[in-house]
Amino acid sequence: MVDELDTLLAQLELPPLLLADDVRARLRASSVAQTTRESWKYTQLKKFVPNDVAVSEPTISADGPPAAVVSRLSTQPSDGLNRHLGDADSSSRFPLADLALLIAGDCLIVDIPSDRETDLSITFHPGINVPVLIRVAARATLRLQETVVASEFANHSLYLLIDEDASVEHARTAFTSHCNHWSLSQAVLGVRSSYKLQQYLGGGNQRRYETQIILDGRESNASLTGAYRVHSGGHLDQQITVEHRAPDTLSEQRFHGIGAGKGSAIFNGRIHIHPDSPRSNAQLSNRNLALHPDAIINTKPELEIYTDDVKCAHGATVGQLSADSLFYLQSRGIALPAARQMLCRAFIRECIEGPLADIASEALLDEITTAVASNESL
Amino acid sequence: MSLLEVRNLEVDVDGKRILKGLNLTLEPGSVHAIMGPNGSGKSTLANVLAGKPGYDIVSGEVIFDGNVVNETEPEALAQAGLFLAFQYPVEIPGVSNMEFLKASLDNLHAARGDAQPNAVEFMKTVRSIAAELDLNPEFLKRGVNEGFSGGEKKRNEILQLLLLQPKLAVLDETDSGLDIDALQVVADGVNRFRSDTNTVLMITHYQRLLNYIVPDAVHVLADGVIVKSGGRELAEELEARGYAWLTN
Ligand SMILES: Nc1ncnc2c1ncn2[C@@H]1O[C@H](COP(=O)(O)OP(=O)(O)O)[C@@H](O)[C@H]1O
Ligand SMILES: [Mg+2]
Repeated sequence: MVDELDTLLAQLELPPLLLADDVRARLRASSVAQTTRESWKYTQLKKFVPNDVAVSEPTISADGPPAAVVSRLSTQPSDGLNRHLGDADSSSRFPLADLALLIAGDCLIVDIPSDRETDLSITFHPGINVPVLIRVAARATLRLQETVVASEFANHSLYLLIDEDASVEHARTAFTSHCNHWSLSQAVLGVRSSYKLQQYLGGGNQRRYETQIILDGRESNASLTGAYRVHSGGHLDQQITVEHRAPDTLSEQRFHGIGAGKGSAIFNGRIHIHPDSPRSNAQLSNRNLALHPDAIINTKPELEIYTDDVKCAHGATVGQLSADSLFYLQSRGIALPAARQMLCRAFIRECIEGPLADIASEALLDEITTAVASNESL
Repeated sequence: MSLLEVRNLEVDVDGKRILKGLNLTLEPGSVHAIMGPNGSGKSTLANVLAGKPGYDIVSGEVIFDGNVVNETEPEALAQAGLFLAFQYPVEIPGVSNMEFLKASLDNLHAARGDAQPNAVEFMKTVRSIAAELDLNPEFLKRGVNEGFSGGEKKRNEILQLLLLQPKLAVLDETDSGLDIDALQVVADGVNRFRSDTNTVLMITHYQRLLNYIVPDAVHVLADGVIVKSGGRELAEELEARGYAWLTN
């Protein structure tokens, strides 16, 4: 990674971004650290280093101005933005986001006005996408839909700053399969704000989705729900970190995945409860079904707790269909293959909701139907 | 012809002999009760009859409606008209009761070569049965047995019985965990199911249920065999004396 970065950076005529030196320094430090990190055990970072530096502009559409104001970093005073673009403590975990900042030399800023509801959709494109920062003002309600058109290579990052009492619902899908696709989504939550993520993914050539939720304000809460499947030859790596940094914060995560072919699904759910965050409540459940004998599923919850008086529950499982449930369905006249179908679909549907539910159902359930039909040994 | 004939049935579970030569004959339209202490093999018998995997029939035969069904798959048994009301019905989140009931009925109709019930008729039937059983029709939208109380689960079993109209209903401790009102509702449902041809095998630990559903015959199962058979009065005798005099 370091060698590749050096070559790449040397070739680049980097734009005069105000933050360039900071970002560059961070990038160098973190890319070294990254290669040795446990979190890159199953996915090759170098697949996400681009061959060229084609920059794409994400398509952003709001429900009509002045619902949201889109501006650019280059037109903004830079004070304080550095802090926003990659949270100070944690930025070092995301060298690929720093790389995008450097190469794009710019950042799109979307300001969501306070005290009203806004619908926003973002489409990311192939190549390095200009990073997007969404600032959600106090008491705003934002419904955000994110999709991606990823052909061979895509890198996109999204930063959400959620102010007091604001709430954000964020639905995203990515199902294209022949791509090296990396994404960061980071949300920083203010006092009493809430963030809800619905994430539906399929495997790519290499797909890695990094999600970082920072519960910064007291009584803020995050709810993350997702479903995914990996087909033969596919690779999907989800790295989710929730940082509880304030008292009375709540996080809930529920993810169901299916290994539908000879591919890899990696799920790393990390919960970090910082000092002075009493009465934090963090729940994480990740369940996986291996529908293919050669499906590789790695799931690992990680807990770091530095405050007493917290509630924390996490569970990660990889399993087969329940024999008792199958028998129950069969005993009502439903043939075994159909019973398997019903249970697999139910397993995924438990985690499908929100505005992209139909798209997610179609993409996830079709694949499952095929996988179940072709495997009699569940 | 008998509807069910169990001949000298020996069954192993996990390599351990649980049923040890059990005989039982049910004529069409009859109601039989099987009583017995905990662990005597009552649920094992019910599960074997319903074709549950993992039960090894070592010897003997089960003949249902004229066919030997020792090796028959559970779905085929259901399609042939056998129904098991489970002692512990499972919860299946993500499959709605509605979807489940429709799939069951469609499969049973298809197996019999009957036309598929249309969706409107189906809904009407299900709702009216639910009403009779005091089940809020909202339950249809929820996952199968998901979040149901013990009593609701048992009532849902009876709802399926009345909807699917099998030839033989095996009720495994359908009365356990029910209060008196719920017991009455469930018993009414079973009594409605009874007919000249519909047959019931009631498994129970207590004779209480038999006050509501009066059986034609009572059998006592102990340690994997039927140790005594009789009429209704046998249940009352068991109530008074317990099982010990039969098992020692
Ligand atoms: N899956 C199983 N594995 C091993 N032993 C079992 C299993 N199920 C039941 N048994 C044993 O078989 C015997 C009969 O159980 P069961 O049929 O459930 O009794 P009952 O319904 O009369 O209370 C008991 O000794 C029980 O421990
Ligand atoms: Mg039992």
